[in-house]
Order: sequence, then C-alpha cells, then structure tokens
Amino acid sequence: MKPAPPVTTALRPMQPVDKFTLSKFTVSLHRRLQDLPKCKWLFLRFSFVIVLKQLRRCRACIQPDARSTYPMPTPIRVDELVKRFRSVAALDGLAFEVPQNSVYALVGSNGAGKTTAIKTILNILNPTSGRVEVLGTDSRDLKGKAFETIGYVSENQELPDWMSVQQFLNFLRPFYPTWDPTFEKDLVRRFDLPPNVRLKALSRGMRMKAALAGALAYRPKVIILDEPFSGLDPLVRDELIESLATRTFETALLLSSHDMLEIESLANYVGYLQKGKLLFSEEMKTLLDRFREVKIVLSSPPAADRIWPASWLQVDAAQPVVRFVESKFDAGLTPQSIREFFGGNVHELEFAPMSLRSIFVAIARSLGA
Amino acid sequence: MTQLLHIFAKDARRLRLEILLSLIVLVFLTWTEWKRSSPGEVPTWYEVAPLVAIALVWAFMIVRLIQSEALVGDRQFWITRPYIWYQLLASKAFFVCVCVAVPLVISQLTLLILANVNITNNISGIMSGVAGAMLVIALPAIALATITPTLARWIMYLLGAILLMGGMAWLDSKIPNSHVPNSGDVSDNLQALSFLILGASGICLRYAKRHSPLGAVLIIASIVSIPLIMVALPYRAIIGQTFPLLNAAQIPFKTLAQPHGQLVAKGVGKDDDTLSVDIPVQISQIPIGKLIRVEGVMLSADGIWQSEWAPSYASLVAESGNLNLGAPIQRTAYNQLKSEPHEFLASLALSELSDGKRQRIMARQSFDVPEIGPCWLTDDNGLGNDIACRTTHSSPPLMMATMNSSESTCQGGRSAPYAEEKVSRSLISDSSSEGPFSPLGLSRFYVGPICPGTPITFSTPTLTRQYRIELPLGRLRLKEQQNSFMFGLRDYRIAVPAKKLSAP
Repeated sequence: MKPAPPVTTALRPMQPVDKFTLSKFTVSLHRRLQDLPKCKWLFLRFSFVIVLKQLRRCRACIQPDARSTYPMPTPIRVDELVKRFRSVAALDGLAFEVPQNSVYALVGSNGAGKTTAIKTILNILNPTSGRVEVLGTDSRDLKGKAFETIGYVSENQELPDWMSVQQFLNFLRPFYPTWDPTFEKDLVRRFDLPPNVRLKALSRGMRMKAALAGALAYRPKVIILDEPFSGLDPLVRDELIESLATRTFETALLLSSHDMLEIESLANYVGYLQKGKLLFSEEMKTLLDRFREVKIVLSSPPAADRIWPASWLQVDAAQPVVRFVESKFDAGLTPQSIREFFGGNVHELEFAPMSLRSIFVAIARSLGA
Repeated sequence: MTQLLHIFAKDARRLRLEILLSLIVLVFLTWTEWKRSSPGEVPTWYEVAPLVAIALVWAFMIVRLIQSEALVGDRQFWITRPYIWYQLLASKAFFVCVCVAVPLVISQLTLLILANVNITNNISGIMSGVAGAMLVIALPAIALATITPTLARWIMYLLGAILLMGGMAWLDSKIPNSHVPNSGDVSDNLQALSFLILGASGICLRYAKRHSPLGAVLIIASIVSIPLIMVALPYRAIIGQTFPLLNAAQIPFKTLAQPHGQLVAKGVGKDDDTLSVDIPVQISQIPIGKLIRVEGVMLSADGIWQSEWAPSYASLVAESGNLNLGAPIQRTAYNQLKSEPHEFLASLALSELSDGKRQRIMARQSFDVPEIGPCWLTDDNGLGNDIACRTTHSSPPLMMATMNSSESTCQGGRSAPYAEEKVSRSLISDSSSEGPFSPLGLSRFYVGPICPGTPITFSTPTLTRQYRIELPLGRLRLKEQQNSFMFGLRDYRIAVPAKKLSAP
C-alpha cells in the first residue's frame, strides 16, 4: 500500500495592504451598512469600528515587510509650496525633491526664503498652500512619533542650555527607539564634545556639534540642517562635513547655506532660491557641467548692436575679446555653435570650468541686471 | 507613560531649587498659620507675606515649567522632537500635582492634625479647597504661560490680568441685583465653570495644535468671559426663579407694618447717587423650630418703577418682631418719583429654614459640641464675650446658638440687663477662616454674656424652601417726607400708614 503523502502547508508571502485598497474596502462596507435597518445598523456600526481598527493594526504590522519589498518613499517632496506672511510671499510655488541617499543644498541670498522653506517642511510653520511630504507623510501631520526618523539642526535653535552635553543626550535618548549608544559615543568623541560642560557654556561651534550629535545618534532617515556652517571655524566645518558625508549612505540630507565651498564638496543636488522662488533645482554635477566661463578672441570686433544668446550670462564684449558665462554648455555642441554665431571670426576659444560660487555670482548678477 | 515620567524627571531636576524654595515657604506658612496670635482676626502683614510668597513661588515655578517646552515661537528644540502632546501636557499636570497640590494637601492635613480634628471627615473638603486653589493659582498661571514665550512677557500679561481683575471687582460692585444670595452664587459658579472649561480647553488646544490660534483665543475668552457673565447674567430673572412668589396664605407667618414705623430714605450726602430706603416691617407668628432669613429686598412704585434687589442679612425667629429692611433707590429715580403720589410695594426674598438637630450643652471654658467641633468661651472685651467654635470643611453650613438669659449663671455686672427672661440667638452662616490659608474656620456666637455652667442650645438649621412675598406699603408721596436732618445732612423721612400690610 502506498503511504499517504505528507501534508505540507504552502507558505505564502504576506502581501502588503495597499492604503487605497483598504479605503475602497471600507467605503464599500460603509455603503452596504447604510442600507441596513437602523437597529442592525447601530449594532453593526460598533462591529465595523472594531474591524476597521483591526485592519489598521494589521496594516501596521505588515508595513515592515512592505518596506523591505517596496522602495522607500521620497524622503522630501515639495510641491507648489506657498507661504505668505500677510501680503508678503516668503515662498512662491516652491517645488523640488530630495532623493534617497542624497545631499540637497538650498542656496540663496539672505531673505530668499531658505529658513522659511525648511520650517514649513518641518511643520514648524503652516504652509499657505501647496504640499510637502517628508518620508511620505504630509508635513501638516508631522508631529510626535513622525520626528523619530527626522533630524533637524538649525543655527538659531534654542537648546536646553541648563543641561550638560551628556544630560542633553541622555534626555533625548529615550525618545528614539533607534538611538544608537555606540554611535552616540563615537559622535561625542569625534566632535570632541565635553560631556560635563553645560550647553550654555559652549562656543557656537560646539553647541552646533552637540545639537548635531543629538540629531544624528538615532540614525534619522532624513536630516535637515539650516545654515549649519555659519559662524564656524574652518576646522569645525571640515569635521561637520566629514561626519555628514559619512551618513549619506543611510539618509537623505537637506541643508541650507551660504557657504558654496562646503556645499560643493558635500551636496549632490542644489536648488537656488531667489525672493521665495526656486530658480532652478538640479543635480550638482549637471549644474557644474553646464556652466563654463568662456573667453573668445575674435579676429575683428563684433557689431555693437549684437544680440547675445539667452544662455550667455554677464557678456563682456571688450573688443576684440568677448567673455561670458555659458549656462548651457555642451562640450560637443557649444564650440561649434559659438563659431557659427561669430561666422568664422573666432580666432581663439577657451572654456574654463566654474566653481559653484562663481556660478551663483554669475546667476545673481545676471538676475540683478 | 514613559515619556510622561521622563519629561517630569527632567523638569523636577531643572526646577529643583524652585521646588525646594516652595516647600520651605509652605512649611513656614503652615507654621505661621498654626501659631497665629489672633485666629479669625484680620491677619497682619507678616502673616499674609508667606501666603503672597507661596503664590508667587508657585506661579513662578509653573511658568518656568511650562516655558521649558515653550509653545510660542519657532526656535525651540523640542518642537522637532518626538514629543507626544498629551504626554507632555500630562507630565506638566503631573508636576503641578506632585509639587504644588500634594504639598498643599499635606500642609492642610498637618494643620488639622495639630488642631486635633478628625481628618477623614475633612478629606473631601480639603480636596475641594485644593482644587479651588489650583483653579485660582495654577490654571491662570498655566494658561498665561502657554501663550507667552518668556517670563517677562508672562509678567506683562499677568499685570494686564490683575488690572482686569481690579476692573472686575469695581464692576461687580456696580452691577445691580448681583449681591442677593443665589443670583450671586449662580454668577460665581458660571464664572468659575466658564474659566475652567474655556481655560482648560485652551491649554489642551495649545498643546494639541500649536499652530492654531484657537487655543490662545479660548484662553483669552476664558478671562474675558468672567466680566461678560458678570454683566450679562439676568440676575432679576434668576432671583424671580429662585424665589417664586407666594401669597400670604402660603407662608407660615404674618407680615405687618411696624405700628410706629416710618419709611426712611437716607442719603449720606447731597451728591450721593443712591439713597437707602428703610422699610419698617413687623413679622410675627413664626412657628417654633422655623427660621426665616431675609435674603433680599426690592421696592417698586405703581408697577412703573422698580429698585434693584438689595441684599439683606436679617434672620427672623419666633421671638423676632420688628425690623428695618433697606432698599436702594437711585437719586435720579427719587427725583422723578418724589412729586407725585405712588403706590409702593416691597418685595422680600426669603429663605425658610428648619431649626433641627438641637443639642443642649453646658458651656464651660472649653467644651465640645458634636457635629460642630471644639468650642470655648472668649474673654470679655468690654462688650461681652462670645462662644468661639473651631469649624472645618465638614462643619454644617448653618449653625445657631440659643441662650435663655434666665438660665445664665453670670452674677451681676453685665449680666444684669439680661436678668429678665429673654431668648438670645446667634445664627452663623459663614464661619470665618482662622487664617487666609487655614482649613480651620472660626465661628463666633454672640448670645449675651456667658459664664461657665450656662446651658446653650446648639442647632444646625437646614434650608427647607425659598420664596418671595410682596408687601403693599400704600400710596405715598416721597417729596413730603424729605424734611428731616441728621448730623447736618438732609435725611429723607417717609411715613407709612400704620395699617396691616398682609396677614395669612
């Protein structure tokens, strides 16, 4: 006699419950229940609430699996963000994204709206219109536990000055389930923070480092820094940049700064804010690639009433030499198009790469003009 | 829960000096209350100073507590940390409870223990007293601290609130009809309730939705609601509802005009705004065991004019007869009414009390009265002596001492005028506190000179019903009565016909 085959249970992988599917289900259930007589409706209403709670719980328990299966939501997504202070538009239709494992630098002159943008992203300020999502959560809903995965340090943040560095870190630790004590010690050592000195007795740079230690030790998924380098000496800046650069493998970083040199070495995305408007937002490499300082030596001077192409910024036609900044440089096409523009009059053509600082100066000056 | 305790521990650590200071002041205050030289008297400045100090220390501590996680501003480190708003609010409330309410309860219990008073009967009273203190000190301090970023700004707001309080006290004295018992109580209770509900909701909203201005609006509304309720409450309607009109047949006694009585309108000076009209009334046949308390008096003329209700604190017992009840009349109204004869009517708001639970006790230098507490005979201050009784939260709200002078054991001297048989009664409705902070009260009964051995009957009257009666005073021309002078000032004297005003 043939033995019975062993009973096997097929293990099906758990499927994540989609938010949309769940809401569709609850809406249809709600409609069906509404058709019932009143007494049954009241009884079933309670049951419905209980079922709904269970489904929510189920979704919550499934989510970790979903996280591993599906890509993370975009760390920061800003869409048509407007912030008005009475009639003054501090932010006017801001739109950009900070991708995963990237460093996005928000640059601009004083009063451009960088700090307002960051405060609105973090729900410190309410947006007038538009939408901001941080790790998939609407910024208006950012509160409580949502901040367990967000690190924020600002140059003008009020810290509990009466605490020592160690007390500050000890106080913050229980708030974060992902707090890494080893990493905390490492940060304290690396930043050379004196554990028993009160925060109010620390210098500006040391306070910033203490704040940063308190914002990095729980390995946040998003770090937002508002002018982190202002007022710091070069040594401290380098230390900060170094420690931030080492975190990009596990986090997305948004920072605002005036300091182009540091940004150039740290950021891989950059957005330029001018009077609340984002003039451009692109990858650092693309930006640096498309800007070139151009020097053209011509055989004969160009005509005085010549109209220059729109992509040429700060044109200085000191005859017979023409200097300008090309904002749409293409190594293959630009030399050819320049030669065509001057009709074989070009004697010498030089292209020089530009620093981020020079690019922004050129942009700012051309905007001013 | 963990976050609650974690934030509480942080606050306790930060405010340890303030906590220590508050405890020292509280201990000192408890000691001064216990050692007060003259309980029941107006406290001296050095007895009031610790009370002011503790209120200031607590307010300062609470402000520092709330502003350590300030809700105003956008630079605080904590607003981008994973604080759960209700845990934060609960931790602050827990701190106030542990560092303010609990020490206050302990100090109150200590005073009761030192006075050998039963604690268990007074727990609920102490709790309600402490809750009242929290409503007066902690809630305003917390509410103002949630809408101010710094201590300096808080002090500014506080000064504004104090000015508002002063204005409200002035307003209270000007609002007609608000001082008659019940209407005033309704107003006080509504004010406290609105302040509590709006203030507490505002605080919760400030924590739950920091951006929303609604929380601040509610907190401001909680303060503004007090004068609004004070002004807008229909006091006359409340009095009308609390004291329904009864006719003569429905009341257990007779009201008569005083046979030789005169209606007297008194003004202090020529420019005085309000005249006080004295209405002479004779009340008789009050049944034994009943007490009648006149809560308020109102005068009206021809149904075209009504005075405001004026409070009256006259208490009537079986032996009572004649009394003058004062009703206010505005000088402008007086000037309008004085020339023509008008039919005047006096309305009396009355409380009927049942004089129950009598106990006859032999007075000694110090003696105990069940349900009332320890009592003693005070020294004769030249006007006679009192029976002083120590009361607590659990003491009955109304207490009466009755003495028949024929039973007095005093010999000669001041007791001589009382040698004839006469019943003296003393009804106490509000015992004065032994000190501004003390849970112990002091009730002084004055029934004539008392010596050890005199039998006194103590009773605790209870309210049975409240009603209103109307006494027609007849047709009077006020102008004819203004011909009397007193101390060089014009005094308005109005004669009332000696007729029976009403009889059951």
